[in-house]
Amino acid sequence: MQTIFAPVINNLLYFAVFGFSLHRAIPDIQGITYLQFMVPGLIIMGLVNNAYQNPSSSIILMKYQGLISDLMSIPLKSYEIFIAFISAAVIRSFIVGGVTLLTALFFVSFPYTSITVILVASMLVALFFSFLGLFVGIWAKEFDNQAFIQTFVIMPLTFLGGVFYPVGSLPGVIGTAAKFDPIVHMINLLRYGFTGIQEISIWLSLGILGGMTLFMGIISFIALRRGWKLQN
Amino acid sequence: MSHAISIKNLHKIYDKKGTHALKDFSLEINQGEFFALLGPNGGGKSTLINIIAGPTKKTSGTIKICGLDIDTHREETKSIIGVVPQEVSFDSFFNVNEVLTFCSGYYGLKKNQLYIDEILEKLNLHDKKYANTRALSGGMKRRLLIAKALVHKPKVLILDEPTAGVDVELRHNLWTYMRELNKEGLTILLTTHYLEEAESLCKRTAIINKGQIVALDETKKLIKSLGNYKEMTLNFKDKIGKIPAHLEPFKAKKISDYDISLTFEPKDLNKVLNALKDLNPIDIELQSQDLEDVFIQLTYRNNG
Repeated sequence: MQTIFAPVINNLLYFAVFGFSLHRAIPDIQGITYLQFMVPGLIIMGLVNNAYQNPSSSIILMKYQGLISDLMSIPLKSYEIFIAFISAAVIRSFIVGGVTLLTALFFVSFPYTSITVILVASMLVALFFSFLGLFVGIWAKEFDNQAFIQTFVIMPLTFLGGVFYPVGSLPGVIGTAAKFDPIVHMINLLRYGFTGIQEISIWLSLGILGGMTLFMGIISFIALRRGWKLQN
Repeated sequence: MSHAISIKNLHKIYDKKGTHALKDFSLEINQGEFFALLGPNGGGKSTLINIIAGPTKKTSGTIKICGLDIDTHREETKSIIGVVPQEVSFDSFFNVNEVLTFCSGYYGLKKNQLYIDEILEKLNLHDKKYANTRALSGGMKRRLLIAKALVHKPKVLILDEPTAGVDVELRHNLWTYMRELNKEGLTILLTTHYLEEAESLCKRTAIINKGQIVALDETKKLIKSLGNYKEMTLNFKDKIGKIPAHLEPFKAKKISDYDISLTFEPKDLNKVLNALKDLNPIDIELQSQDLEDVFIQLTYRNNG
C-alpha cells in the first residue's frame, strides 16, 4: 500500500501545485503543455527511487537482522541471487512508474511518439538504479549510508535533471554541466517517447544510458559474486 | 568412501586485525560420525563453521564435503550441509511455516510441506506453525533454527552451540533427537561449551585452541588421557581436625571443615574402602575425571 499509494499522493500534489495553480503562469514548452512536459520526469522519479531503494534496503535490513550469513549459505549461484534482487527492484519500480502514469492520464494526454523508446528507456533506468541500489546495499554498513546516496546524490541529480524545467534554459556553465547529469538523458528519452520533444539527441542519451547501465551491472555483479563486504 | 568433512591445512587470517584465527588446521570426520569440537571462546570454532557454510572466506587450505571441494563445487556442497548457527536470527516478517517453506525453496524443494510438518512435529513446534517468528520463545527459536537446517535433508549437519541458553528438559530432548538423526546416518559436527554434551553424544572429540587442534581422539580415550583416576569426597558429621595419616597416600585434602577429598586410581579402591572402615563418613561422592579436566588442562592453562 505504502509503496504504491505514496507516489500517487506525491504526484497529485505536483499536479495540484504545478499543473493547476501555476500552469497559467508557465507558457507551453516547445508546443506541449507544462503538465505534458512534467509527467515523464515524475515517472522517472518513481522509477529511480523505487529501483534504488528495493535492493539497497533489502540487503541492509538483512545485515541488521543477521541474515546475510543465510544469503551466503544457500546453494544459489551468484547470478541467481543477482537476478532475484534486480527483478524485484525492476518490477517494483515499473509498478510505481505505471501507477504514476495512470494517475497522470486523468489530467493529461500524450501523442506517444515512440512506445519502444518509452519501454527501453524505462527498463534501462530501472536496471541502472537497481544495479546501483544493489551495489550501495552491499557497500553500506547502515541505513545512513544508503540515505546519504539518496539525499546527496540521487535527489539533487533528479531535481537538476530537468523534471520541472527544460535543461536548455539553464545558463552557461551550469547548462553545460547539466548534460553530464545522467538523469537528464533519462528524462530526455522518456519525454521524447511521450511527446516527441528532445533537448539532446536521443541516440546520444541511449548510448550514455546503455553504457552506464552496463558498467553498473558489471560492477554490482562482481561485488556480489566476490562477497565484497558480505563475507568475512 | 570419502570423509563427510575433510579439512586440510586451513588458514584464516582476518585482514583488518591480522588475527590468525585458524592455523594450519586439519581434520577429517567420517560419514555417519557424531563429532564434537570443543574450544574456548575465540578458539576458532565459529570461524571454522562459517568457512564451511559460506559466510566467511578462508585464506588458504582445502575443505571437502563428501568428497566435493567447496571452492569448485560451491552450490553442491552447500546443498548437502545444514548449519545451525550460534546466533538466533529470523526474518521478522514471516511465520514458522513460511520460514521453512522459503528455506525449502532455496534448495529447490517446491512441495516440501509434508516433511516440514514432520520436522515441526518432532521438534514440538507444530502448535507454532503459523506463529510469527517474533512471537517465539528463545527455546522455540533454537528449535526453528534446527528445523531450517534439516528441511532439505542434508547429509552433514553442523551445530554451533545449539543448546546455549536452553533449559535442561529441552536440551535433553534435543540430544535425543540428534541421537536419532545420527542413527539414521546423518553425520553431525557439534560445537559446544557443554562438555557433558560432548561426553554423552559424541564418539570422537577434538579440542581447538588459538586456531589449532590441541587434542583429537575418541571421547573416552581423551577423558582417560590425563590418567585414570577417581575423586572421592567424604562428608563427616563432626568437624575434622587433622587429616588421618592413613589417608595421606590417597592425596587427601581438606576441602571444608566437614569434607575431605581423596584421589586414587581404580585399582586402589579396596585399599581406600579399608582405610575408611573406622572413619564413619555420613556421605560419599565418587567422581571420575571428565572432559572438563582435559579441556581446562589443554586450553585455559595454556592460555596463561
